[in-house]
Amino acid sequence: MAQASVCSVSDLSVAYHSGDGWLQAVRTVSFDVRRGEILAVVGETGSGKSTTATAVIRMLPANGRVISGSVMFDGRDLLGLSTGEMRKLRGQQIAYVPQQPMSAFNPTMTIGRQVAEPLVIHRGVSYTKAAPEAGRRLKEMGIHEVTRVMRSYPHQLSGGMLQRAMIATAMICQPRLLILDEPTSALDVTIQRQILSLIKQVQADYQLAVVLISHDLTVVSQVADRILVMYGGRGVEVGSTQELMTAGRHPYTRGLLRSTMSSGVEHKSRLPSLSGYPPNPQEVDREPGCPFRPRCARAVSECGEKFPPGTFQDGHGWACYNPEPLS
Amino acid sequence: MSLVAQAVSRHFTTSRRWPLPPEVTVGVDRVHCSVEPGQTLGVVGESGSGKSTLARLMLGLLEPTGGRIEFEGRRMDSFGHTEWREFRRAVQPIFQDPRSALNWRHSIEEIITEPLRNFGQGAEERKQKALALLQQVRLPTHVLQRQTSDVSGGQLQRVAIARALALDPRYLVCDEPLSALDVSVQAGVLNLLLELQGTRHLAMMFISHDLEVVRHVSDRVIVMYHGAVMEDAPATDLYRQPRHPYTQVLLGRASPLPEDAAMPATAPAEAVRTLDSHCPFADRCPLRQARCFEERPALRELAPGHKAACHFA
Repeated sequence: MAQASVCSVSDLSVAYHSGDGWLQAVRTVSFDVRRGEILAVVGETGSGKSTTATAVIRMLPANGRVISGSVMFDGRDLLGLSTGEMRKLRGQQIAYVPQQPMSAFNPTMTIGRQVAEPLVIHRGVSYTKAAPEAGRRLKEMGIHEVTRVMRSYPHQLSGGMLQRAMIATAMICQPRLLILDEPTSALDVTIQRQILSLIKQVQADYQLAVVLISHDLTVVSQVADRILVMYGGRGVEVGSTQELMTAGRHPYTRGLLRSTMSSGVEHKSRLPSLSGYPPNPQEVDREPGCPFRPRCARAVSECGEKFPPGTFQDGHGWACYNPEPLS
Repeated sequence: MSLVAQAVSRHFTTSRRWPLPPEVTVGVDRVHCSVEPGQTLGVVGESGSGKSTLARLMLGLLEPTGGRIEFEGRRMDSFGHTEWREFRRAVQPIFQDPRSALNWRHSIEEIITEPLRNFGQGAEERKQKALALLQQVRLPTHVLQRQTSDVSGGQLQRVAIARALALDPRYLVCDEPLSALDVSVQAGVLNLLLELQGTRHLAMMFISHDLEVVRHVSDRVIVMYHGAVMEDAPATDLYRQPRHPYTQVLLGRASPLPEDAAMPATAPAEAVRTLDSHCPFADRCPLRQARCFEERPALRELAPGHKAACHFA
């Protein structure tokens, strides 16, 4: 391993309490993020990708609990820290960009104040002193009319501008780990590309460790160094972007890629598609084996008994009893 | 036999406090398009480009403020009760999010059979038809008794498709039918729509922000920006050789100017700009010149069947 890992998650399991008991949303997920790399966590509804991220930063909703695992950051297990200690890390060492910039900003405060806020809170400077730094950050994020933007309220700016401002807010204390939850899915295609290249640029400039959470494998493959694919609360495949996109071994990864539109597909022809629907946590709970088994064309008898152990080959790992052959 | 928009416009007027004049926003601006049997008209554009407003106009859910819509040779604004009933039977919508489009207090059976009841079919007939429809959209028959909250988003979109097909329509207007669905179920729903188009010779209008999906399903594509058509071409030509700079930007073959790029020094001041005084895309266009701020380009034919609204295309 060339770079030391900044954050390393092992055997993380998270459950939510609902009306009729506990439901497990994340099951023994492990991964690490290294300095200067973008790790994408990809999955569909109910795959546990956002739960994993919120568990890492200890911001699970009140009905959520980490039931096992550890999150090592800087030699300490984040899950064992007190609320106060965690609060010092959040925004300072670990920054989080939530889904939907529109609703994440406070509608009653100007953008300038909100971008400067982490400095005021963590470094104890006044808003007046923090403002020039906020301006510099906004400029760095590709905003030209800095003065106007700083005086604006969130509703006066477009989604793309807000997302830039959100990343500026996350970066203002120069964190070492940046977690972005679906940073581009609320944006139009043209803006999406710009935000992705901004993330790439920020990551390279600061040698950040970045966790990028998304439902879209093809979008993240444009910027990620490595990808972790999640399904039904489990990590099912992990590897370098190149490896995963060209030689994925898990049937789910391959199925997703096959059913994605590409220029090679014949016009109006039938696309290869995965049968069935992604499972909800109740269904995963009833299924002792691999959560993908009901939709899998390669399922064998073991698949219904126990979740497959991971196989690793040169940093590329998959959890499958009957992986797709190398083409 | 087609559903045609002729220079259709829809402007939205918001009244403000007296004596401020009402504010007018352009939803759709002088759009020409035609939905033909067995063919798909793709509509692409970013949010706010007027795609959904156009869909609602074509469905007769909104009245145009200018131009007209013709349904199989008859003007929509002259429709009486009988024509509207005939139109509602022939033209059906599929919306983006089936969870909000369908009534969650109804069972799946009620959702699928409601159009049949409205058009006077008996209980037994309705039941048979519902079962046949479920089979066509590849859903197991037991979902009939379920509530919308018991089925997944992908299954519910299939229910919405079954409901839309209940009256054997000739036209489907699909407004972002895949965007609310998980990636792994999108291809299946898309295959279903294409298959139904083939077997029923449906005319489809397919609205999406996903250019690759639109390329796959469409015979003809219109590209919209700020309510107006920027480019109108056969799908293969559009993707092979996009003429309008906006289409090139959408396809990732050119970069747009930043949202807050400065005006070129030669451009007239913003204050005097009206709808027709400039090209709607001029603010972000990488190829813009002074002329783009002085004169609005008309949609003109650059190659047989291939039109673009740009001075320099």
